[in-house]
Amino acid sequence: MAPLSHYLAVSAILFVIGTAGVLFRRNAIIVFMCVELMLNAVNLTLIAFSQFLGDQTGQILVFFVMTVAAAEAAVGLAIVIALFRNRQTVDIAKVNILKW
Amino acid sequence: MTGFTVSARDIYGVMPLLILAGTGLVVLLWDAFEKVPTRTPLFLTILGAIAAGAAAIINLGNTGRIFNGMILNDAFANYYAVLFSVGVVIAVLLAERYLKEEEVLVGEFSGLTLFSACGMVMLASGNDLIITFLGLETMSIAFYVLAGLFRRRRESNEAALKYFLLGAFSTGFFLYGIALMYGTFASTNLDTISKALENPTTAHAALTSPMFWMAAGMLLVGFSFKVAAFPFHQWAPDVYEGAPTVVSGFFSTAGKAGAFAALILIFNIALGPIALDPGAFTKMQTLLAILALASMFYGNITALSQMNIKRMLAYSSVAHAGYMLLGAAALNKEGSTSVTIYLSVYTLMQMGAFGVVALLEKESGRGLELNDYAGLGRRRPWLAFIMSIMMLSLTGIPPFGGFFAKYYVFAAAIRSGLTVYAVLGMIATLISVYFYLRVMVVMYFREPEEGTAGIAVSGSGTVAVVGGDTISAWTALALAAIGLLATGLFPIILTDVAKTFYAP
Repeated sequence: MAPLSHYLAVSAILFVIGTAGVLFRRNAIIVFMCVELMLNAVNLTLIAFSQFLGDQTGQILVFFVMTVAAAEAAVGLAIVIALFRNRQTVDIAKVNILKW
Repeated sequence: MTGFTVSARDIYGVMPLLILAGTGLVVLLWDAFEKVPTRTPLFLTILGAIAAGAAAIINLGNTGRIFNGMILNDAFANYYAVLFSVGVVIAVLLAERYLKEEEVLVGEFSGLTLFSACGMVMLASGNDLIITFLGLETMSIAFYVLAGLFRRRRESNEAALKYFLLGAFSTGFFLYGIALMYGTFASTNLDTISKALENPTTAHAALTSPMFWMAAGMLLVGFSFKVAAFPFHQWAPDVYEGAPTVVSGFFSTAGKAGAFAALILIFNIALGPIALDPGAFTKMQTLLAILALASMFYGNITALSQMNIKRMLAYSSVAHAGYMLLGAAALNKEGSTSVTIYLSVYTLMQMGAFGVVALLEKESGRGLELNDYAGLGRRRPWLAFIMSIMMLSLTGIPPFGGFFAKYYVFAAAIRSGLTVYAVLGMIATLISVYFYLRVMVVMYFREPEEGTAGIAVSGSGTVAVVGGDTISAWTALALAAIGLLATGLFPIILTDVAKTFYAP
């Protein structure tokens, strides 16, 4: 089996990709997908630790994270739809009535 | 491993949470079945919040853990539950007229406020990082929706989107911090983490591993976002400006209190034994104190140039997050007590200030510029008087609660060896005097210019004032003002409360 550090490295890389996406992409939906990527990177870390520590807490936490992410997606997409109805855009660079 | 059973003690322990959640569901159902919208949901919300607060007061004498050590049920957790209930009551009282004028259905507001309060209670009683995470998300998800409550207003949409994207982003960091903490200590339970740090061998292993410091850093990033501390505060001014005023007040007080309660539980209580290792202790203290100082200076200096009153209050809330972080940086029980005192007073004064702003706001978000307040002292003397109390208290001038709140925070910082930071913090406070007192100067000494005069004219028929005066709004403002005076004149109230927390 691959050592723990490999799993951690993969999830760290995924996390960084997600972070970069949030910082540099301009489409609200893509930014949101990048956030999901970050959460899933953390899930991978949790499962890796759980496996190597022989402790189930991490896996239980992953279930909670998935549930929360689903709830967050529901609310987030609703917000994006409300915005689109008023502004006909999901480009966050154009969402700038308030000083950013 | 023994089987997990739920005892009556567990159920009684989470009674405040159950009442809040139950009322939230009842309110939503009530709203769904009501043919003609009434204000009943708001009334039910207040009843529910009072009931939850009463349950928390009954539980105040409890000690120990419930649900297999997952949930804290002691004076600390229950005190915060009372604080959140007070926050909900004030917010709902202020919202009554405001929401009606803005034609927002009150059902959603009531339900979401209660659900976010559930999240806060979980944050303050989370003895396991899983509970902290769930509490943070329950609170935040309700907040995202609350920010976008005026769904036809572009500013509100924008505030909701910004809050949501940055909030979800910060959740990622927070969660990564939890995962690394779990990797370091093989447990998410705060008691287990605390015990591991008390044992010299395991403590040394943890404190010398980079994983622990990455975890602490990530958790701090997550918390900084939620409490709007520098450098993760950028969302705060936009969200506070765009969100409904009453909701902004609720975010910046109860929401901040929830996040700080969890921060204290993790950094001051669970990681408290870090003090046994002087090197690591200083490192952690410096980390928190630098964040605190940056927030104070950035918040206060940027607030100087703000002409929109909601943005000014937003930047001032960044600075206040800094004061509280300095108290937390003491990393001991005195520090956490001082932060608790600060939060209690801060909830009253910031909520009061936002309440006055909500009362003066005109339709579609006008009447929020500082110049609109000119001449208020003559036209609406009582409202100007209340605003003055809030501003003086936010500055930290006796005889109001804000003074003692600041005193305890700085005293805790000095006693734990952060003298330099405390002195710099006091200089930052001096900067804040300018923009708080400017509001009073504008209210009392400046005449309204032509064309902007509308706001101070109430009931003249020429300008519709959205908030209007109602008994409920005045009850809320009076509650806040009396609370500030009482804590300012008799600070023993605060110290007594604090002592009951941490009886030796």
